[in-house]
Amino acid sequence: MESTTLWGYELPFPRQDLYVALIAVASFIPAVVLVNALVHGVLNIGGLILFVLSPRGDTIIFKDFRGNVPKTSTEVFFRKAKFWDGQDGKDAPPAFHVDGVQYLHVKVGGLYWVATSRENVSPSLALELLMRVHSICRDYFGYVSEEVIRRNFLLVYELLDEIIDYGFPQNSSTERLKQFVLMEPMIVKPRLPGGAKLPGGATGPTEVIKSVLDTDRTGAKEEIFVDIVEKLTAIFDAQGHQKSSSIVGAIQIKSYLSGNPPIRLGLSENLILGRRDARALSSYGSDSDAVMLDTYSIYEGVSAERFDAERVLELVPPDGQFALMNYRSSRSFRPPFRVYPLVEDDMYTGDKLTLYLRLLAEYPATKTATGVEVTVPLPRSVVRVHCETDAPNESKLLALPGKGAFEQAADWRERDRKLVWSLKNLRGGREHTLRCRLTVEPGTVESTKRDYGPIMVQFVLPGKPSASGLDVRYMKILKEEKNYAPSRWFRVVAMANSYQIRPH
Amino acid sequence: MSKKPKGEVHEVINALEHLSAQSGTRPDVVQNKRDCFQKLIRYMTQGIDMSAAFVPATKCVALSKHDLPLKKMLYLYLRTAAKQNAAVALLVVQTLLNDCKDLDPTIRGLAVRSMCSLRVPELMENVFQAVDAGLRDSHPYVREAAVMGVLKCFHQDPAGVRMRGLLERVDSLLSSDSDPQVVANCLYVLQQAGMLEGRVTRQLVISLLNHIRSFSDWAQCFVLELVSSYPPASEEERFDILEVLDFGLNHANSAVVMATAKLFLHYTLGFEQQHHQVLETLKDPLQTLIQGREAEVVYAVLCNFLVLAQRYPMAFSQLYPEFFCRYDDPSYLKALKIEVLIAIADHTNAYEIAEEMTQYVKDIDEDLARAAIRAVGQIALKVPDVNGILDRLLLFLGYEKDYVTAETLIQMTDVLRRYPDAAEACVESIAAIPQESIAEPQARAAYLWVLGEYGAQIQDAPYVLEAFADDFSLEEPPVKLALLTACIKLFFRRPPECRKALGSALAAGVADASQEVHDKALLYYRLLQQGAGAAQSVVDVQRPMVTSFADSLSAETQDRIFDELNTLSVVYRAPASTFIDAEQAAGRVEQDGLDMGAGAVGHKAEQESSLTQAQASLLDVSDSSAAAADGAATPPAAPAPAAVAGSGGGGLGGLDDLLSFGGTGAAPAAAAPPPPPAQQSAANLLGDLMGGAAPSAGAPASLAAAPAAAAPTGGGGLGGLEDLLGGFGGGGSAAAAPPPASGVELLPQPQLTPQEFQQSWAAWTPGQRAFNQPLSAAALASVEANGYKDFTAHIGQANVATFATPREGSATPLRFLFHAQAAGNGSRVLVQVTVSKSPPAAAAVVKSDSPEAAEHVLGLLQTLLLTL
Repeated sequence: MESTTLWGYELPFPRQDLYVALIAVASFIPAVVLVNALVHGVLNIGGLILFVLSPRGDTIIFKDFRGNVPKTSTEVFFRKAKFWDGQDGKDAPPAFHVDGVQYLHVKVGGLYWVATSRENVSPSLALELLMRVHSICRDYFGYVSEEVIRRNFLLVYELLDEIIDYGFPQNSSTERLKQFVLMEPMIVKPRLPGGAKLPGGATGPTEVIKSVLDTDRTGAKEEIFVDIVEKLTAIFDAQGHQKSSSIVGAIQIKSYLSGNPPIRLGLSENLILGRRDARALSSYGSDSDAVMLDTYSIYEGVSAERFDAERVLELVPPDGQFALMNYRSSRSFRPPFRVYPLVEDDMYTGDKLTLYLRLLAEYPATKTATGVEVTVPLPRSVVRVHCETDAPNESKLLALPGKGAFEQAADWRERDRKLVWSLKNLRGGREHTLRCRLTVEPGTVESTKRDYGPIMVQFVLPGKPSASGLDVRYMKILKEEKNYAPSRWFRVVAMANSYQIRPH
Repeated sequence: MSKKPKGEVHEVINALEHLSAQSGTRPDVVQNKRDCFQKLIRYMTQGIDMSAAFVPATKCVALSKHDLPLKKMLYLYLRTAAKQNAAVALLVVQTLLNDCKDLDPTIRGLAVRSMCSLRVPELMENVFQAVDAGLRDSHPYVREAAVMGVLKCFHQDPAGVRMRGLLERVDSLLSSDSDPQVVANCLYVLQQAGMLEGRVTRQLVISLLNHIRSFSDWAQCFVLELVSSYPPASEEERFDILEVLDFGLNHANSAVVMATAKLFLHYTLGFEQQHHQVLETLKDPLQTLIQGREAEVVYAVLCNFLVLAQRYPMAFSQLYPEFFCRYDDPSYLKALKIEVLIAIADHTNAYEIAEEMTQYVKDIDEDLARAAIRAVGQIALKVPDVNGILDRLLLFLGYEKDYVTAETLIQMTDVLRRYPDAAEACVESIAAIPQESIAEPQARAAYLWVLGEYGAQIQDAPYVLEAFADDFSLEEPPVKLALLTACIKLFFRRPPECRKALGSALAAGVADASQEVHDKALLYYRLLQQGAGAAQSVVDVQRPMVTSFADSLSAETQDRIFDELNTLSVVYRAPASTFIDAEQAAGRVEQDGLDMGAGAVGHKAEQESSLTQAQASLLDVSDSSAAAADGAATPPAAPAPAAVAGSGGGGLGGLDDLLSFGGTGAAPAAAAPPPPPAQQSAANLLGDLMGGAAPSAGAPASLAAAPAAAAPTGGGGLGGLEDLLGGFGGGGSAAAAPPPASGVELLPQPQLTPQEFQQSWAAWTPGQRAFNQPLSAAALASVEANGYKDFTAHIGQANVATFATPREGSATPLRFLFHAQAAGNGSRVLVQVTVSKSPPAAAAVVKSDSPEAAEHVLGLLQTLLLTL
């Protein structure tokens, strides 16, 4: 038997070997899950090692399915990915190769999930597989972070064992896994203060953290969450004219129903799907309040005929989180936010400018946006920035604690050359102005005026109606049982995808 | 071994022993046991040998039989411990065998999987037993594990697997099992074991397609790959298959979408109308993926899309807003999106794209800004209606950011080569750039190029050059080269003002340490010695307008990448052979693998052949730089792509003005294939000049080392030219030569196995012979006709037998393998013939253990290729 070494440790494992190694390289470097699903083949299925690395480079999980990739691959990967292009902070592309070893990775949940291979694999397959491993972990542990994976490392290995056998991906549905994976997840409550975003939690606004196993095993409350999440893309010019807009949406379901009963969802009846429908509609000459989706894809288990005819989705929801429907709409929507920038010269000095940002929340007062962030990149000519928000203590003045209360702050991040104006809560109908005094290098007043921007807005805006107008009319859980009344949660959330104001 | 203190191992062992004495049913004891095992495995995965804990560990579990998680942990431990200590495995095998007969399918499956992963040779007999029973199990979970187990066994003990007919058992499961995952595993195992060759029959395909929706996503991808290698029997069948697979395009899993898209595209290749329909249907699913998914997934999708966009730019031109960057896109995605935008730019969308790029130029991310400027430059080259776009480049010059100015200048020179008429508008703005704000060597070289070309319109150009020439030694070589050229060119226009600049530049140049600079300066110096008029007629020639720039990838490479859609080839934009370790692939004997010879040799041979090909033709400049770009497998960083002029010797001329001399010189030589001796001496003279000039050819235009620039200086250029002429002379003389009278006779029907071929091919590399021969278009057509049969029959006349041919319809270069055997001593001759399309030429490599035989076959081939 020949032996190999791993981080200087000699491993008396034979070459063709299925083993698990969990290594923390050095305490100051955090970690990776490494799964090696090595699949040979002309048919480009795989040939993967899989590993998970923390942002500091510790190996958290390392699983080698075929043993034909050097054990130093985690180090090689980390060095290459961390200093891509010789620079710290550049994103390494999801696929690259070093010495004939292919490295594919995704960066989610604050960790690198890496697969390695010696074959000419399908990049989509490898990356989707890694994404799937991550989402299974998320379903099992409620959310994914370095600590969660560390605490549950044995369960992760057990899951990997079921998901991939000898490098060939097996059935990875939660039903199957629930049947054959037996260890209990250790739920780690997130330590972050309430409301803060979890690392990698940007995928969905459903903040509930619990394992899919809870319902069946511990008898926790049965519930189902249905979220319509829409990401808005819009570009405005300095005058506030909307130059382009589009919506990318998804109906996301997170299900904790024991016994997986079928459910039925009725969508808006005035829903028009795809270009074909749209053409039919235009022949009626109507441009009413119809909800128009340009393209969409539906979860595989849904009967397509019923949906086409009645706009009804009937399915057996799998455990955990999944996207029931993804769609795009190029319908123009009423922009929830507007920002008007204005730059004024200083009359007395040649090296000062004043930048005004006027932010309008143009949605009903019943809605409150959270995490609103207006970012303005400023050119290198800007030396100093001094910001004043309007009435920082408005909440006190209005004596309206709770809903009316808001906090805002403006922050000049010199390293990124970005001015960030954040408002924690912003109720509809309000208007705020930020005033910034910019000190620039002499003689660069004009170029500064020309070079700032584009202004970007981030937000999370819950509440009906959705920007596209899509709605879920009803949801039924088709289970014949007395007193069966699981909680049903329903939300609509709009987020910024790329919400820009171009001042020039 | 690890230096971890023994204490921890002992601690675990003690704890286990303590626990094994307690009753296994109490929940608190079970929990303690699990915790203890977790510790055990944690140590083990750190590389500590925990096999000493084996006895208490098994005892511990034996007393808590019903706790499955504990059992799983034990198996996890055993798999590693068994390898560390084979004796352990022998002790535990009985437990495992018992578990294989357990009532619970989970335990049976687990036991089978664990046994197959033990890899202890002494236990193979038991493993086979377990696999055998597992294949017959009533529960699909166990069968799945057992099927995969067959492959694990096959890799350890192929003979044992064959003897027991396990693969045949898998084969019969494939057609009889009702569980989709078992079927998928069977397919995979057979494919891995090489048993699926020629087995993808109509029947198999139809039954797979009928059940495709019951497979998991991953198995669907696998099946789609299998089906795409199946040639449908009829047109009707082809479109039936496509109809069945239509669902794949709207799948939520991008891997399924991409696999389906690949199959659709390849299936409809011969049917233009349907092919375009497919492109049309692909738009929606691709958009949904690109807009809605994670950056990594989008990246993989876009890499594939870029290949399509470059192939069919028209089909996607209206999708351009989809590829505008988002501010939170990772940098790799932004760069890729810009590439896509360049690919789909045409007159309908160029303005909007350029408008968007202008926004990116202002971005604080320098790389993005540069990429955007490059994009504007490339779009200007691509879309003839240049007005608005050229204005943008001029606009960038006003941004007063050094890197923006630098990148814009570099792009500007390309645009001016393409649109000389635009010079009027641009030169003024370029001249207005303060010289000190141009820092990068490439940008300085570009700036000097403009001064040299359009100096007549720039008032103080001579004085700027003078300033440059004064600091000659401080510049980088590419700048020096550009400066020399600029000085001499402007000298012809404005002699009195430029005299000083030229004088000091030449003096400094001749004294320069860089060989290239030295040679170029010397060349100018000598030319001027012949008289200014003579020099002007050489250096200051009217340049033909450049109409197209060489693509960074040759058409053949692009075709190859299209064939390899949905693999990493699209990510690296290079065929698999350039990045997949050939050694790993060498084990598999298949046509594609074989033609490369064994291992690394094949890799080298390919590079070699692309180089020799390039030398074989007159228009070699663009080719060799393209080949260099291929080899580097990265998008060329060359600021100014090697220019290809329209016709004839102009191919050389486009690169640099000096070379246009070489070009015009070479053209008459080309026109008269057998060069008369008198002209030969003229060519020598010419060669002498070229000797100085050729090495510098690549450098001013690009830093990406074209082979010409990498060649040894001086002699290199001369050699190149001789090659050039030799190619023609050689072709002629071979034709005229009498049939070789070496006395070697070839056997009529030589026999050879693929393994022998591979071994000999690798072993005989020293002493190999090679030649290149241009082919006529008719000859090329006859090679491709009738599925290469005519060609191989033609070669076969001389008792040179065909060993392997490319698949029909393969992209060029086409690679053929031949072999022959001498009648007397039985020595073998192996031949690889590579036929390339543009330029039409054949390159042959002949290897043999007998030099006479090789020589003989070489002669035969030359004659045969000429008489095609």
